[in-house]
Amino acid sequence: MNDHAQLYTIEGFTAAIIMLVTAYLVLSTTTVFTPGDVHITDMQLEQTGNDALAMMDTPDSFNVTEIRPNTTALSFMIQQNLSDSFGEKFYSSLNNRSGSSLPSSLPDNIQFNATVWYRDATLLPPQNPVQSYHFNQSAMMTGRENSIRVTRLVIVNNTPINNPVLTNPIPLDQRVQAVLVEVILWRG
Amino acid sequence: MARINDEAQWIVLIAFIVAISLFFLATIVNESTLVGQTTSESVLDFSKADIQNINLKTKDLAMYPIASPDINDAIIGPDIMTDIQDLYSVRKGVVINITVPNPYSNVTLHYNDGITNFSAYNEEK
Repeated sequence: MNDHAQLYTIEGFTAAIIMLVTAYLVLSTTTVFTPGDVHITDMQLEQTGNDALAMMDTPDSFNVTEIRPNTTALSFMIQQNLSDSFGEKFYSSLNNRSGSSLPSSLPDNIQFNATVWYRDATLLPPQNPVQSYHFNQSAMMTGRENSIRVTRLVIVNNTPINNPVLTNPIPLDQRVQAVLVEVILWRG
Repeated sequence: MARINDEAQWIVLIAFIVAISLFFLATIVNESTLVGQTTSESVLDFSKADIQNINLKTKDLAMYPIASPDINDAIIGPDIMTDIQDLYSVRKGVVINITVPNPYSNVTLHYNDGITNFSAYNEEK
């Protein structure tokens, strides 16, 4: 029996195993057909949107003579139906960056479409009491954008005459209510 | 029998090291896609902002009660509670239950969106 070159045989086997395992690892690497970083930008967009809404829904004054002393800008804009000032402030909150002349400080290009959802207590089943109206938008959506949704629960003071949707029907105008501001965000 | 040729052992050793490094690099490539996806997905799945928002609004309403605090011994009026529950179940598929005893003491908050089941019990001193 010829017992030459045993070391070479062992080396050959080792090399073969290493190559096979490496090839297996490469071939079994998960292929994600939507690129993996889509989720990362979604996450950033959602965080930015939630922060912008939270910023607008933070009280900036405390007025003890009011029924709710710590009402917020967002709550006031819905109560008074100031959709234009909402659009202006929300758009700048989303897109403005600090700095002045660097290319990285140019405004971002996030677009939004905001809807207000409220409960109409006069609608009984089988009607759906949850109704909505369009609040504001910065651009038209084609439906092909990669968009995400952020929401904010807002407590709105009773709306005597200012907001035609929330005051109609009548039972709603007499009470403080919770509405859900729903914003679709995308880059475009 | 010819003497075994023991030249070029350094080259063989370095070839092994290179092969093993390639093996580890392949492992890293194998993991990387999933790491980026799962972390961002888990951030998206956990509704942190929602829970913070509801918690804040609960305390806000409890601190400045505005609607019929005597009904059902609840500080937050039943109208607003129905608003919150209906809006969240219809728009987000979330089941919410908030209990604020009157007088304001221990707030209990349950939040379930099918993925996250969150309960909080805020003990007020």
